[in-house]
Amino acid sequence: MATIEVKNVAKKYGKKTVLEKLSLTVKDGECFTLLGPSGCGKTVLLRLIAGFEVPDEGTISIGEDLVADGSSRRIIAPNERGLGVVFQDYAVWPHKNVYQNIAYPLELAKVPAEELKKRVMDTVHLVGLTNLEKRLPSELSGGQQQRVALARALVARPALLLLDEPLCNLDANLREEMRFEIKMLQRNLGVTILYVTHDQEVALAISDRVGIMDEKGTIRQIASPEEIFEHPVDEFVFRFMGVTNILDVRIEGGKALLADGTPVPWLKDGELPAEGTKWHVGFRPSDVMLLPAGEGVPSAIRRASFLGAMTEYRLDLGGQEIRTEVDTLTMHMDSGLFKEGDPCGIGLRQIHWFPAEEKEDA
Amino acid sequence: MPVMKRRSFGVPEMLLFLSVAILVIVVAVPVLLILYTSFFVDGHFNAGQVMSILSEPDIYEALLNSLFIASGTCIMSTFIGTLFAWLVVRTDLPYKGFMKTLFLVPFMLPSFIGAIAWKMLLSPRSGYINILLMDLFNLEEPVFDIYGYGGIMAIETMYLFPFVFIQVCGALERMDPTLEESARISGASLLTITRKITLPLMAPSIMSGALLIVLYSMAHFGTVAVLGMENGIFNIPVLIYEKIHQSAGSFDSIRAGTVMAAVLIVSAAFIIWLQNKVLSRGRYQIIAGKSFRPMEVKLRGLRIPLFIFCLAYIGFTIVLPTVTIFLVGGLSTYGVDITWENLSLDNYKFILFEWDLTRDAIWNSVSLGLGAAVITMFAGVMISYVIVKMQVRGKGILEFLGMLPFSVPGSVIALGVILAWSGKFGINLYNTVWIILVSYIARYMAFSLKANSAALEQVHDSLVEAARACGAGMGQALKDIVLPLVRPGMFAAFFLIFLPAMRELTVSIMLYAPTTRTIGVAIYTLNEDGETVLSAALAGIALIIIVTGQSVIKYFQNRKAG
Amino acid sequence: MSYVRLVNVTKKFGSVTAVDKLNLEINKGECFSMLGPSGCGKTTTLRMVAGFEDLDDGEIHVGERLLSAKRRNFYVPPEKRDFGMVFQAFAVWPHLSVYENVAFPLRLRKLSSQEIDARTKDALEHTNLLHVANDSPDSLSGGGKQRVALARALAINPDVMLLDEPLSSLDPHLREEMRFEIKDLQRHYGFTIIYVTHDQSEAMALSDRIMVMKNGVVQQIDTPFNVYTHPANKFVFSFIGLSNFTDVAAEDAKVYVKGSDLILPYSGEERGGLFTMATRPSEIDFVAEGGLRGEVVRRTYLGDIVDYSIKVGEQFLRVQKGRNDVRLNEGEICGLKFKHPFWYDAD
Repeated sequence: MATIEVKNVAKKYGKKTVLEKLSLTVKDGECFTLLGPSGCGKTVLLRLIAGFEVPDEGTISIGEDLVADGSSRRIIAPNERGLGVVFQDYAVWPHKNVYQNIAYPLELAKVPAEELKKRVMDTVHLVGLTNLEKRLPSELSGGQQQRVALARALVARPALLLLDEPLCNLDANLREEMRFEIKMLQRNLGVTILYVTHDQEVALAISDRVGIMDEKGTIRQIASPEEIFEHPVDEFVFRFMGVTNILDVRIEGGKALLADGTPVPWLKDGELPAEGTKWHVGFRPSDVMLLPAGEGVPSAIRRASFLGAMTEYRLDLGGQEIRTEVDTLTMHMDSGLFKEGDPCGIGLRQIHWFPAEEKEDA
Repeated sequence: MPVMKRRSFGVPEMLLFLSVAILVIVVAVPVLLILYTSFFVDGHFNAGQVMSILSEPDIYEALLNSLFIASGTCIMSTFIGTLFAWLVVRTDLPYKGFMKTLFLVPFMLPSFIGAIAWKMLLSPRSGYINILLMDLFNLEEPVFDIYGYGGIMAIETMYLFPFVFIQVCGALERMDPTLEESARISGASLLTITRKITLPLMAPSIMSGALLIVLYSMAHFGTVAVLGMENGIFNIPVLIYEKIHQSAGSFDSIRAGTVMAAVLIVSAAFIIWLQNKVLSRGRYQIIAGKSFRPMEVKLRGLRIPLFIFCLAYIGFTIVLPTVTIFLVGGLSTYGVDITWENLSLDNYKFILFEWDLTRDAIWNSVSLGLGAAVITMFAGVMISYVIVKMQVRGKGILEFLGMLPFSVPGSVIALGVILAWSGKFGINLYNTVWIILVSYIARYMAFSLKANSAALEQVHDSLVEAARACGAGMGQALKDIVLPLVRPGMFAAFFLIFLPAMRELTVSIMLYAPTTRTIGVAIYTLNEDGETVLSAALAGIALIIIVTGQSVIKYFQNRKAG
Repeated sequence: MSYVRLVNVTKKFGSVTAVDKLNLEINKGECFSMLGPSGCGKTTTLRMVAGFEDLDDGEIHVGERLLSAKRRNFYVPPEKRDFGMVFQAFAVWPHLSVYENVAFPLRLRKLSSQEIDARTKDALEHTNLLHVANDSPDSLSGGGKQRVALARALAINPDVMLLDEPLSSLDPHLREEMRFEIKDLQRHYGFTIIYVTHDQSEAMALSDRIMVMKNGVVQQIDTPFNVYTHPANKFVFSFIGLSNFTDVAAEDAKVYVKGSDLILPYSGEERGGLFTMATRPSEIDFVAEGGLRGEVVRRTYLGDIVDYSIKVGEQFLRVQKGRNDVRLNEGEICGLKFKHPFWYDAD
C-alpha cells in the first residue's frame, strides 16, 4: 500500500515560512500532481516526503509507516523509505555507465547477481534504452539521461515514485513523448506517483488528481484535471491553468456591465451575483464565440495572428482586450477569416464569476 | 519497520570543529601572533611603536621598493598579458593554440631560477650577452645592467604576466561575439570596436589579473633577493628575511619583521577585497548561448612580424634562460667559455650522487612536498566538503577562515610559524624539518581548498540524494558517489601542491637549518656563495622534476578529457 | 518592387554546403521570414546579407547598391551597410547606459549632438524605454534588453532590419507581445524586415511571406496562409505544424490503409503502390456513421484541447479536438473524416 498521508506539516527556513499546516492524501495507485508557481513550496513538500528535509511540525506517513514526526524531529532516513525519486536535473551519476546507474539500487539491496542482471536489463528495455547500457551519461541526450533516472528509480520496484519536475529541462517534443511514457509506465506497473511541476499542461495530461498550490504554500483546490480546468474554485486556479480573459464588471439593474456600459456577452440566463459589488468575469479564449458583425455584442478585431492550424484574434470589448482562437480552416471555409480592424460580434459559451478584490493576491 | 532516528547525530558538528581547528592552528594562529606581536608591547596596545618602526629608514625604503617594483611589474605584465591574450584569441596569428600553451609555460617555472639565469646572461661584468655585445661592437661599457629596478621588474614580469594572460584569454573566449557584431553593424570599425566595446568589457578581468600581480610581486622574495643585493635594492620579504637571519632571533628584529609582515597582511587583504569588488561590480553578463565564430581581426601585413615577435619573446624568456641554466650547470667553473670541451655531466653526477648537501636538499624537498601535498589534500577535501556541502550552524566562521590562506603571503606564514612553533605553546619545532612542513601546509591550503571546492561544487546535491533514495546510507553515498567524483579534484590538488613545493624558496629560506635545506634554499645559497655552476646544475635538476610532473598532469588531464 | 536581391548565393563551410544557389527577392517594406530547422542555412543567409560571412558564389544587392559579389571580389563590410540588426542573445553593451547603447550608432555617424539626442529619444520613445534611458541594460529584464537592442537598431533609421531569432530568449508570453511591438515599429518606420526563426507559428504570425529552407536549399517561398494550405512537399508539411503520416496502398483503384482492409476516400491523381497520406491532428473530425474506423487507444485531456491517439489498422493517428467538441473515451470505436489530406510519395 503506497498511500501518502501528510498531516499539518509546517516547514520554515530561517524566518521564512514555506509550508504552514499543510495536509494532503495521495491514494494508492494514483498519479497525483502538485502544481504551483516556482517557489511555492511544492518541491519542499516532495523533499519532506522523500526524507531529505525534516518537518518542523506535523507528521508524514507512507503506507502504514510513520516516516517523519515534526514534534520529535525524528525521521526515517531516505534510504530506508523504499522510494523511487527522479530529479529535475536527472542526477544520473556521471562516473557510472547506464547499466551501473540502474544496477546500483539492486546492489545495495544485495540482489543475487543473476536476478540483478535480469532485472536491470528488463528495466533498460522498459524505458527504451536497449543497446545503450554501456554508455556513460555524458554520451547520452537529455531525454536519454532522464530515462536512465527513471529506470534507476523504478528498478527496485518501489510502490511510490516521486518526480520533481522531471521533464522541464527537455524540449517540447521530448517532453510530450516522455509524458506519455510516464503515464504508460504508471498504468502498467501500478506504482503510485507524486509529481511536482509548474507546467499545467503536463499536470493535466498525466494526473488522476491535481493539487494547485499558491505562492504561500496553500493548496487551493484538489480535483481531477477536468474539474480543475472547467470548475476552478477561485481566480488563482483559473489563471494558473492557461490563457485567460478577465473582464472588470459591475452589476447594475440586473445586468452585468463593463466600465463603459457594454453588456457582458453572456448568452445564457445564469444567475447574477450581488448587485453593486465589483466582479471579475473570467473565461478562456475557447469560450469566446466569434460572430459576424451584427450578431452578439458588437466588437472589433484589434490584432489577427495567423498561426497555422489556429488563428488568434485580439478583440476590443468595451475598451478591454480579450483574446480568442479559431480553427483556421473551418473559419476560412465557413465565413472567411477576419482581418485587423474588421467589426465582429462576440458571444460567450461559459463564464466564471470571481470577486474582484481577489486579483491583488492572485 | 525501520527505526526512526533523530537526524542530527553530531557528525557534521564534529567535522566542522575539526576543520575550524586545522585552519585555526595552521593559519589563523600564526597570523594573529604576527598582528599581536606587532601591535602589542608587553601586553599593551602600542601603535606609536609601530609607527616608529615603520619610519626606520631601511624599513621605509623596503616599503617603497615593494610598492614601486609591484607597480612597475603590474603595468608591464598587464600590457604584455593583454596584448598576447588578444593576439592568440582574437586575431589570425599562426599556430594560436600552440602559442597559447607556450605563453602559459612561465607559470610552472620558478622565477628565482630565472633570475639566476638572467644574472648569468646580463650581469654587467660577466653576463654572456653583455660580453658578446661588447666583443661584437668593441664597446667599453656593458649594454645591460640586470641589477636594477628595471631588471627586477622585467624578470618578475616574465614570470607573472600569465596571471593577466589567462584571465583575459578566458574572458575573451567566453564573450558573446554578437556584442561585437552588433557594434559592427551599427557602423563601428574594428579599431573602434576594440576601443569602445571589447576593452571596456574586458576591464574587470584585466583589473583582476593586474591586482593578483601586485599581490604576488609585493610578497615576492626570490627575484629581488637574487638581483637586488648588488645595488642594495630590497623589498619587504627580503628585509624580513635579513632581519630574522642576521640577528639570530633577537626580539627587536622579530618585532620589526612582524610589523612589516602586518603591512603585507593588510595590503593583501585590501587587494583581495578590491579584486572581489572589481569582479562583482564588473561581472557583466556577457556570456551567451548561440556561439558563432568570434570575429577574427585580420593582422594582414603585421601577421608574420607579430608571429616572429611572439616567437622571439618565448625564445628570450623561456628557452634562453633554461638553456643557460643547463649549460652553466655543465661547466667546470663559472666564467670559462661555453664550448664542448668545457661541458660535462660531472656537476650533475656530483650533486645527485656524491654531495650530501644537495642530496639532502632533494630528499628534503621531495619528502616535504609529498607530505604537505598528502596532508593538505585530505584536509582540503574535508574543509571544502563542510564549506560547500554541509548545513551546520557556525559554518560562517569556517568560510571566513577558508578565505585566509588565499591572502597570506609566504614570508608572513614563515614568520608566523616561527612565532607559533618556537616553544611558545610548548612545542618547539624550530630548526627541524617539521616547521617547514607546517608552513607548507599553511601556504598551500589555499590551492587545495580551491581545487577541492571546485570539484565538490560539480557534485550536485541531487546526485547524493538520488543515491539515498536508492537505498544508500550517508556513508555509502559518500563512498560510492562523492569520492569517485572528487577524485580528480584531489588529484589536481596533490600536484598543485607537490610541484610548487619542489621549488619553494620564500618560506623555506626563513626556516631552514643546516640539515633541512630544500632544493630552493640550496640553489639560492649555493648561488650566493659563488658556487654558480653547482647552483645551476641543481636548478637544472629542479626544472626536470617540475616539467616531468607537469607533463604527468597534462597526460592524465588529457586522457580524462579525451 | 524587389528591394533586397540575392542572386545565386552559395556558401560552403569546408565540404558542407550551407547555402546552395539561393535566389531571393524581397520587397521594400515587406516582412520576410526565413524558417527551417537548425543547420538549414537560414542564419548563414542572414549573416551573408549582414556582411559577417563571405560568399562562395553569387551576389547580394539592396536597392541600387551592390553589397557582395564573389566573382568581382567585391564586398562591403558590415559597418558600411547601414542595416539594423538584432541578435538572439540581446547583445546590448553592459558598460553603457540604455541611452548610450542607442546613441552609439548615431555617434559613429558624426551627427550634431542635437540630432543624436533627438533620434535617440525618438527610438527610446517608440520602444517604451524613455523612463529607463539612464539605467544600465543589465538592470532590465530579457524583454527590456531586447527592446534596447531594437531601439539601437532603429536609431539610424535603416531601410533593412535583420532579426536573428530575436524572440527565442524570451518567455512565451513576452514573445507574443514583442511580436506585436515589432510589427508596430515596422508600420511606423517602414523598414524591410528579414527575420530568421525556427518557430513556425512566430514566422506565420509576423510575416508577409515566408521561406522554408532545408539543408541549404529553398523548399517553398509564399504567404503564410498559402504555405500552410498548400505545402510544396512533405518536409514543408511536417515543419509547418503537427502532422500525421499514414502509409497507404493503392489496389484495384482503391486506396487502403497499409496492412488493413480499411478504405480511404481518395480523390487525387491516379497512383499505384505505396504512398503516404499527410493529415493534421486538428483537421480530422469524428463522425458517428461511416468514415475511417479506428479505436481510441489514448485520450489526453489538455484543457483547451483533447488529444487522442487513434489506432487505424496497424497504424496510429493523432487527433486533436477543442474542448467544446464531442468527447470520446478510451476503447471506443470511432469514425474519422479527413478535412484536408495531402498525398505524398512514400520515402
